[in-house]
Amino acid sequence: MRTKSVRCIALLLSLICFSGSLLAQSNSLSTPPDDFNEWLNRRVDEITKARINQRNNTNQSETSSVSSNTTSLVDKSSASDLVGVAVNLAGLSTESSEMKASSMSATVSAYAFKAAAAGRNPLDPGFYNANRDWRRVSFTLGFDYPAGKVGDINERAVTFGIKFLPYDKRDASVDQQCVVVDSTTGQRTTSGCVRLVSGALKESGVGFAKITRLVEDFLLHELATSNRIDPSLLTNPLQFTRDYLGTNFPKKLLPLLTEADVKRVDDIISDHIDPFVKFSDTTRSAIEQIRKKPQASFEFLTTQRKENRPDEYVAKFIADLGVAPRLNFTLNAAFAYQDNKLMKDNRGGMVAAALQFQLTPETKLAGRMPWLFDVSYQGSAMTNMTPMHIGQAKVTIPLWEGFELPLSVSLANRTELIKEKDVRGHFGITFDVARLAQAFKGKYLGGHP
Amino acid sequence: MGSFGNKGKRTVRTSIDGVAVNVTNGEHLNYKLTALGAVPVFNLSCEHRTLFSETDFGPPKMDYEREWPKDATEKDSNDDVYVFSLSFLKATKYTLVVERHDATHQVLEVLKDIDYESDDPADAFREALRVFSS
Repeated sequence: MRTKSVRCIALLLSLICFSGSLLAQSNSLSTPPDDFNEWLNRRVDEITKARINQRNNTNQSETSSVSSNTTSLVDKSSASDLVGVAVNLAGLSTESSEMKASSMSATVSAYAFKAAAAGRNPLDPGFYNANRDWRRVSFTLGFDYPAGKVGDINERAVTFGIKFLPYDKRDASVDQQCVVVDSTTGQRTTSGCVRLVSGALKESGVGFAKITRLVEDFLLHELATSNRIDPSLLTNPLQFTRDYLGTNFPKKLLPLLTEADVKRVDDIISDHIDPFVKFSDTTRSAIEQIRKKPQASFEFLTTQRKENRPDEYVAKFIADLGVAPRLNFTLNAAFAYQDNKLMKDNRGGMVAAALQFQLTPETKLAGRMPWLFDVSYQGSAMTNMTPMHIGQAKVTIPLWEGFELPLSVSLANRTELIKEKDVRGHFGITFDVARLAQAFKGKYLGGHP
Repeated sequence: MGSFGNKGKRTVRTSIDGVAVNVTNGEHLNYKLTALGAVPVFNLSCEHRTLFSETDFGPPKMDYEREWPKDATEKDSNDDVYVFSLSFLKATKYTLVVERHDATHQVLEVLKDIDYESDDPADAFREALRVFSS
């Protein structure tokens, strides 16, 4: 028996985030504003983020841990997505009779078909809320080719799946309840998530009205008294707004502003930033809590291959439960069957459970990620194979913004080749390019329009 | 096409930031909002308070329309800033059209005609209009 030993694997680079997240981070500042309102909204957003960064790095206050690059809570799948895959599958693509794509797949809910059949816009809020049950069922259709065999019909694998969510508290039409913590008393109360966000939006609307007046009055006074615009506009603010704001702002007024003017605008915004920080905190907390609402699903997936290549069938149960604000539990159970056609078939099952603890309250939005502790178990048994059990404990340590150090210890009852117990330890460095870019931009580029 | 927030896209067809409204003669502003998604969240606020929000219109729907001022109590000042705020928590797209109408509801001018889209539920936008009313 081999004695237990810990192996270290140095510098695993993982989780490199490109394209979508990086582009999302550059959304606000890379393109010039279309009008005055867009410019002012962006400045408010930047100062809000800066204030949250500053607060989180000094006070360690508890805020949401949701990344800024989240996808919509609304189901936007379209029937045409699945139809597109089916058309390519049948070789009916208008581009060419050849199958150019190496792989393609789409997952669409039954709701999308319901909306298409009814001739209704699937994002009509009334129709969306009235047909929630149709979103419990979704279909997956896809195909792929082994490497080097793209276009070979005989090598193509077709995947078809169906998923049913009998219990889903994350659907956007559900009126989820959110827990609110009073920052001064620490008292916890429960209220509707949408209601909380709506309330915070109202306060920020009043705040934005005040900021708009102060900024407009400042710009008018400053530019008129310095003769950068016609001084007579001082007594005609309506004419000033119509001549120099709106869509005239980027070309007529923005070029006249000095760095000192922009700084003064930022000072005005900073003095009235509290409602926007509150809105940001409230919204992100609501998103986090909605995404952690319990969900259970049953899924069936099959991969079909031609001739003597094996077909696969998997039936799976997944339960994802947000047990507490910082505790998440996931359970998977699956039965797999492989039809080998020429040889004995394989069948078996897999069970996995994972518990994730968020140890510290740092936000993922700005500043460091929180400390995470994960405990997981996976067991699998297939015919003609020795059952395998793997246990893992992992700690993810945030070093600084954009860099994390995961340390894990895994225990397995067998390696791939030897039927002996194996203990491995891993450590690595991960860095998030998008978060690094945001940190760099915030510290060094200043965010000037 | 403009941008806002984390993933917001904004398409401006008309954007005028100041208007004179002769409320005494029956002129008023007309707000029309088209919303796509599950639950639109929006409100109209001035420097003093919020005048209306999505909860004043019943269950979620696609089309909303509202005049301002509904009555004399909705005008707090002859020079005020009115902000139409939009949240993308459970919505994906809004189209806002603001018009100045005469007493017979004829359109005198279009002040705002703008599309807002975002896939990030954390995004929001605030559209301000300074109103000089008499």
